[in-house]
Amino acid sequence: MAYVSIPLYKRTIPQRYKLIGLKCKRCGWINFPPKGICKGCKVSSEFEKVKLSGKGTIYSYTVITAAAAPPEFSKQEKSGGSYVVALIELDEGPRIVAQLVNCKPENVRIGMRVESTIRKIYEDEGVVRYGFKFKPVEESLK
Amino acid sequence: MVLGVIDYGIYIPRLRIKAEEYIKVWSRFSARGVKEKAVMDLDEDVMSMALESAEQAVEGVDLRDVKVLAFASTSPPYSERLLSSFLVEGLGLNRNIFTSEHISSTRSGTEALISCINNLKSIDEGLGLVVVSDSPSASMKDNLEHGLGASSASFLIGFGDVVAEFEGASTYVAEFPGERFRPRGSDRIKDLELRGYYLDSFHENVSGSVKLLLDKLGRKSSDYSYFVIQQFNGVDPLRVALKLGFTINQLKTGFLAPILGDTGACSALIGFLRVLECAEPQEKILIASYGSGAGSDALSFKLTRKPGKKGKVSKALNKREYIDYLSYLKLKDAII
Repeated sequence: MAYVSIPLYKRTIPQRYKLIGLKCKRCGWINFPPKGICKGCKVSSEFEKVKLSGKGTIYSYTVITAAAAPPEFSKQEKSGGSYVVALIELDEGPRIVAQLVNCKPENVRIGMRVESTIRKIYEDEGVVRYGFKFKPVEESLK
Repeated sequence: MVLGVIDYGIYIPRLRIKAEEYIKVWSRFSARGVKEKAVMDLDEDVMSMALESAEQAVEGVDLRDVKVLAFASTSPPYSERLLSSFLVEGLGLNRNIFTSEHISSTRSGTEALISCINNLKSIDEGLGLVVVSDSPSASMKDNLEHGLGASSASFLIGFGDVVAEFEGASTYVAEFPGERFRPRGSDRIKDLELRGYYLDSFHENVSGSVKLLLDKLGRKSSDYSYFVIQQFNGVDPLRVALKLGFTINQLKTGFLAPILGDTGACSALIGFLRVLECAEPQEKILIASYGSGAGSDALSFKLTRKPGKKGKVSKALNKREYIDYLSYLKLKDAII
């Protein structure tokens, strides 16, 4: 998620704004982010675009605290003291890394149900970079 | 064919700050009648809120049918560049869509609604999407800042089986310089603290649009079960509405400034959403927006059926997490 150039960012907007993945026409594996060769069968390069549900489960996570945040997230770290970065297993299969919001670090647990939300990821050269983060599905907070 | 609201979406940031937090720091809270207000998190902005509410409004529809998109906000993240493109991409709308953007005053929410309705009428088929999202900001030292909240409301407009039928709209515009304004290049609204003068403007413009619409439709104020007015604070708009002959019973359902603050372009429309979830079929709803400078739009709707998926509005209103004034300053970029 670190710094990327605007043209590269533009190319990945379908993934960042609405989680568009590639489904392998040969083996059905869902590739997210998109790959040249399917990660499932490691043979096919024939895909169809699919919109992922944005629902998933926390597979693992870490808490970023003082001085550990990369510069584009330092304001966020200063504001909240810390923030959670999670490895999320999407219901369609892929595991992705994203920030977790609406949840204090002490309340996060592995296996927690989460869903995607659009947020400002950071701002660079005056351009706001939007993308997905995840938040707990309400029931998982009870 | 009947045209109106087919579905809707709402997004209210979950963070809230209470008036008492301001009183602890400033010994006063200048937004009359506001008890608490909604606050965006550090990584939320007008566009992210807009996409969240718009996604709800178009849930389950064939996105290729959406032919018109109207976006409104007084405080988008950019002063120049298209804003609707973010929504077209984020929602996956057809790229041949006609979009309009309404961004110069708190009246812009209803401007977008009227513009979308008129554009859709001219095409005479398909769906229109209205996305209103706002979070006005002012200097932390300014009294005007105390009441400023945040929220987003979206409406899917179409023909046929509508939730609320559109009955008509009227507008009134009158020049009132020196009221709430934001100079070019600034992201903070200002005013000259001339309360009586602002109330005169509010009264003249709102009564101008409302009276014109009532005349046009051959109605009187008592024909309406609900009246939703622009809510720049939690007291003065009520007093103006009472002066116009409306009652507290007509006003209370759609009056959300006491719990959300002044949500700018969203103000009357968030109230309208609340009413949509509470009203009974055949009940009539009158909306009056207001934007400084100044102008007002009045719109009339009649509820035709209960909305399919209930409870979106109350759910959004009830999701709350309270913060203190120091956290608020950090979120507003005032001390970091």
